Amino acid sequence: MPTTGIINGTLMRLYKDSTAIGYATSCQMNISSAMREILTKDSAAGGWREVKKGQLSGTLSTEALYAGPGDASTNYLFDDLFTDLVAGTALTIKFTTDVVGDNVYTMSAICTSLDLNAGVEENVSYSASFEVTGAIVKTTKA
Amino acid sequence: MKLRLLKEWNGKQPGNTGVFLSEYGEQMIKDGIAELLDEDFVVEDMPKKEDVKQEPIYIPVFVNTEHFQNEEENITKPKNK
Repeated sequence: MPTTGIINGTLMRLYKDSTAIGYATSCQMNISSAMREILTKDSAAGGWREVKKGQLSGTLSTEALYAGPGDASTNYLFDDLFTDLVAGTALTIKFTTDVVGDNVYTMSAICTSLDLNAGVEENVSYSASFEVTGAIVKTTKA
Repeated sequence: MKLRLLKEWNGKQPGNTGVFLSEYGEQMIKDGIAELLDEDFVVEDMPKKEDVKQEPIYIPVFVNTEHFQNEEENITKPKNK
Protein backbone atom coordinates (compact mmCIF):
# COMPACT_ATOMS: atom_id res chain seq x y z
CA MET A 1 0.00 0.00 0.00
CA PRO A 2 1.50 3.37 -0.99
CA THR A 3 2.36 5.95 1.63
CA THR A 4 -0.62 8.18 2.32
CA GLY A 5 -0.27 11.96 2.56
CA ILE A 6 2.97 13.85 2.69
CA ILE A 7 5.93 11.50 2.70
CA ASN A 8 8.42 11.77 5.53
CA GLY A 9 11.70 12.83 3.92
CA THR A 10 13.66 10.61 6.28
CA LEU A 11 12.29 7.54 4.54
CA MET A 12 13.13 8.59 1.00
CA ARG A 13 16.73 7.92 0.28
CA LEU A 14 19.32 7.24 -2.40
CA TYR A 15 20.42 3.70 -3.10
CA LYS A 16 23.39 2.69 -5.23
CA ASP A 17 22.00 -0.37 -7.00
CA SER A 18 20.18 -1.68 -3.93
CA THR A 19 22.52 -0.51 -1.20
CA ALA A 20 21.69 2.62 0.75
CA ILE A 21 24.09 5.56 0.63
CA GLY A 22 24.99 5.46 4.30
CA TYR A 23 24.56 8.03 7.06
CA ALA A 24 22.80 10.43 4.68
CA THR A 25 21.21 13.46 6.28
CA SER A 26 19.60 14.80 3.12
CA CYS A 27 19.13 13.82 -0.52
CA GLN A 28 18.09 15.92 -3.50
CA MET A 29 17.10 15.14 -7.06
CA ASN A 30 16.89 17.93 -9.58
CA ILE A 31 15.28 17.53 -12.99
CA SER A 32 15.32 20.39 -15.42
CA SER A 33 14.47 21.13 -18.97
CA ALA A 34 16.53 23.49 -21.05
CA MET A 35 14.59 25.92 -23.17
CA ARG A 36 15.43 26.77 -26.76
CA GLU A 37 14.50 30.19 -27.90
CA ILE A 38 12.36 30.55 -30.99
CA LEU A 39 13.25 33.84 -32.57
CA THR A 40 12.29 34.58 -36.15
CA LYS A 41 11.37 37.69 -38.02
CA ASP A 42 7.75 36.50 -37.76
CA SER A 43 7.74 35.97 -34.00
CA ALA A 44 9.77 38.97 -32.97
CA ALA A 45 6.77 41.26 -33.11
CA GLY A 46 5.51 42.44 -29.74
CA GLY A 47 8.81 41.85 -27.97
CA TRP A 48 7.79 38.66 -26.16
CA ARG A 49 10.24 35.78 -26.00
CA GLU A 50 9.06 32.39 -27.26
CA VAL A 51 10.59 29.12 -26.06
CA LYS A 52 10.19 25.41 -26.63
CA LYS A 53 11.36 22.45 -24.65
CA GLY A 54 14.99 21.53 -25.13
CA GLN A 55 17.21 18.93 -23.53
CA LEU A 56 16.22 17.30 -20.25
CA SER A 57 18.82 16.84 -17.55
CA GLY A 58 19.12 15.74 -13.98
CA THR A 59 21.43 16.03 -11.01
CA LEU A 60 21.55 14.36 -7.64
CA SER A 61 23.16 15.45 -4.44
CA THR A 62 23.38 14.16 -0.93
CA GLU A 63 24.81 15.23 2.37
CA ALA A 64 25.97 12.59 4.78
CA LEU A 65 28.11 11.92 7.81
CA TYR A 66 31.50 10.42 7.16
CA ALA A 67 32.56 6.95 8.32
CA GLY A 68 35.89 5.42 7.36
CA PRO A 69 37.00 1.85 6.71
CA GLY A 70 36.50 0.99 10.38
CA ASP A 71 32.74 1.30 10.06
CA ALA A 72 30.98 -2.08 10.25
CA SER A 73 28.41 -1.19 7.64
CA THR A 74 27.52 -2.61 4.26
CA ASN A 75 26.13 0.73 3.16
CA TYR A 76 27.66 2.75 0.36
CA LEU A 77 30.03 5.22 1.99
CA PHE A 78 32.35 8.09 1.11
CA ASP A 79 35.26 5.81 0.24
CA ASP A 80 33.10 3.92 -2.27
CA LEU A 81 32.04 7.20 -3.89
CA PHE A 82 35.66 8.37 -3.93
CA THR A 83 36.62 5.28 -5.93
CA ASP A 84 33.70 5.86 -8.31
CA LEU A 85 34.54 9.53 -8.82
CA VAL A 86 38.20 8.80 -9.65
CA ALA A 87 37.19 6.00 -12.03
CA GLY A 88 34.30 7.98 -13.55
CA THR A 89 32.00 5.02 -13.02
CA ALA A 90 28.34 5.44 -13.98
CA LEU A 91 26.28 4.24 -11.01
CA THR A 92 22.75 2.93 -11.04
CA ILE A 93 20.96 5.09 -8.49
CA LYS A 94 17.45 4.68 -7.11
CA PHE A 95 15.63 7.36 -5.15
CA THR A 96 12.79 5.76 -3.21
CA THR A 97 11.06 5.07 0.08
CA ASP A 98 11.13 1.32 -0.74
CA VAL A 99 7.43 1.17 0.16
CA VAL A 100 5.15 -0.89 -2.11
CA GLY A 101 3.07 1.46 -4.27
CA ASP A 102 5.44 4.42 -3.89
CA ASN A 103 7.50 5.85 -6.73
CA VAL A 104 10.99 4.66 -7.57
CA TYR A 105 13.15 7.03 -9.59
CA THR A 106 15.91 5.08 -11.32
CA MET A 107 18.80 6.60 -13.21
CA SER A 108 22.41 6.22 -14.19
CA ALA A 109 24.62 8.90 -12.67
CA ILE A 110 28.28 9.82 -12.37
CA CYS A 111 29.69 11.27 -9.17
CA THR A 112 31.09 14.69 -10.08
CA SER A 113 32.15 16.11 -6.74
CA LEU A 114 32.82 15.19 -3.13
CA ASP A 115 33.32 17.77 -0.39
CA LEU A 116 34.60 16.47 2.90
CA ASN A 117 34.17 18.77 5.89
CA ALA A 118 35.86 18.36 9.25
CA GLY A 119 35.08 21.06 11.81
CA VAL A 120 36.33 21.23 15.37
CA GLU A 121 34.00 19.25 17.67
CA GLU A 122 31.69 18.49 14.76
CA ASN A 123 30.85 15.26 12.95
CA VAL A 124 32.95 14.81 9.84
CA SER A 125 30.51 15.15 6.98
CA TYR A 126 30.54 15.27 3.22
CA SER A 127 28.41 16.26 0.31
CA ALA A 128 28.33 14.42 -3.00
CA SER A 129 27.01 15.59 -6.35
CA PHE A 130 26.03 13.46 -9.31
CA GLU A 131 25.25 14.22 -12.93
CA VAL A 132 22.56 12.02 -14.41
CA THR A 133 23.45 10.40 -17.71
CA GLY A 134 20.48 9.27 -19.79
CA ALA A 135 16.87 9.21 -18.70
CA ILE A 136 15.34 9.27 -15.25
CA VAL A 137 12.73 6.52 -15.18
CA LYS A 138 9.78 6.69 -12.79
CA THR A 139 8.22 3.38 -11.80
CA THR A 140 6.03 2.17 -8.96
CA LYS A 141 7.43 -0.18 -6.37
CA ALA A 142 5.66 -3.50 -6.83
CA MET B 1 15.27 -3.54 5.15
CA LYS B 2 18.17 -4.01 7.49
CA LEU B 3 20.36 -7.07 7.01
CA ARG B 4 23.42 -8.60 8.63
CA LEU B 5 25.94 -10.29 6.35
CA LEU B 6 26.51 -13.98 6.90
CA LYS B 7 29.12 -14.23 4.16
CA GLU B 8 31.59 -11.81 2.61
CA TRP B 9 29.81 -9.60 0.10
CA ASN B 10 31.34 -6.93 -2.16
CA GLY B 11 34.42 -6.82 0.07
CA LYS B 12 32.31 -6.28 3.20
CA GLN B 13 32.92 -8.63 6.10
CA PRO B 14 30.40 -11.06 7.63
CA GLY B 15 28.66 -9.45 10.59
CA ASN B 16 28.46 -6.04 8.93
CA THR B 17 24.97 -4.56 8.79
CA GLY B 18 23.31 -2.27 6.28
CA VAL B 19 20.16 -1.04 4.60
CA PHE B 20 19.05 -2.63 1.32
CA LEU B 21 16.11 -2.29 -1.01
CA SER B 22 13.63 -4.97 0.02
CA GLU B 23 13.58 -6.86 -3.29
CA TYR B 24 17.35 -7.18 -3.37
CA GLY B 25 17.54 -7.91 0.35
CA GLU B 26 15.07 -10.77 0.05
CA GLN B 27 17.24 -12.33 -2.63
CA MET B 28 20.32 -11.99 -0.42
CA ILE B 29 18.45 -13.80 2.36
CA LYS B 30 17.38 -16.54 -0.07
CA ASP B 31 20.97 -16.91 -1.26
CA GLY B 32 22.15 -17.25 2.33
CA ILE B 33 24.36 -14.17 2.06
CA ALA B 34 22.56 -12.21 4.78
CA GLU B 35 20.01 -12.52 7.54
CA LEU B 36 17.07 -10.24 8.19
CA LEU B 37 17.31 -7.86 11.13
CA ASP B 38 14.37 -5.53 10.46
CA GLU B 39 12.03 -5.70 7.46
CA ASP B 40 10.70 -2.13 7.77
CA PHE B 41 14.01 -0.50 8.60
CA VAL B 42 14.95 2.39 6.33
CA VAL B 43 17.28 4.71 8.22
CA GLU B 44 20.37 3.53 10.04
CA ASP B 45 21.35 4.74 13.48
CA MET B 46 23.13 7.97 12.99
CA PRO B 47 26.30 8.50 15.03
CA LYS B 48 25.06 10.87 17.69
CA LYS B 49 26.97 13.90 18.75
CA GLU B 50 27.75 13.68 22.44
CA ASP B 51 26.69 16.70 24.42
CA VAL B 52 29.69 17.66 26.48
CA LYS B 53 28.52 19.59 29.49
CA GLN B 54 31.10 22.02 30.76
CA GLU B 55 31.75 21.56 34.45
CA PRO B 56 31.80 24.84 36.37
CA ILE B 57 35.27 26.07 37.20
CA TYR B 58 35.69 27.52 40.69
CA ILE B 59 38.45 30.05 41.03
CA PRO B 60 39.40 30.95 44.61
CA VAL B 61 39.18 34.66 45.26
CA PHE B 62 40.85 35.96 48.38
CA VAL B 63 38.66 38.32 50.39
CA ASN B 64 39.58 40.06 53.64
CA THR B 65 37.74 38.72 56.73
CA GLU B 66 36.59 42.31 57.38
CA HIS B 67 34.36 41.97 54.39
CA PHE B 68 32.42 39.14 56.02
CA GLN B 69 32.18 40.99 59.31
CA ASN B 70 30.61 43.89 57.52
CA GLU B 71 28.22 41.52 55.82
CA GLU B 72 27.13 40.07 59.18
CA GLU B 73 26.56 43.51 60.57
CA ASN B 74 24.37 44.40 57.64
CA ILE B 75 22.24 41.28 58.17
CA THR B 76 21.86 41.51 61.96
CA LYS B 77 21.46 45.26 62.26
CA PRO B 78 18.06 46.66 61.33
CA LYS B 79 18.15 49.10 58.52
CA ASN B 80 17.81 52.77 59.37
CA LYS B 81 14.61 54.17 58.09
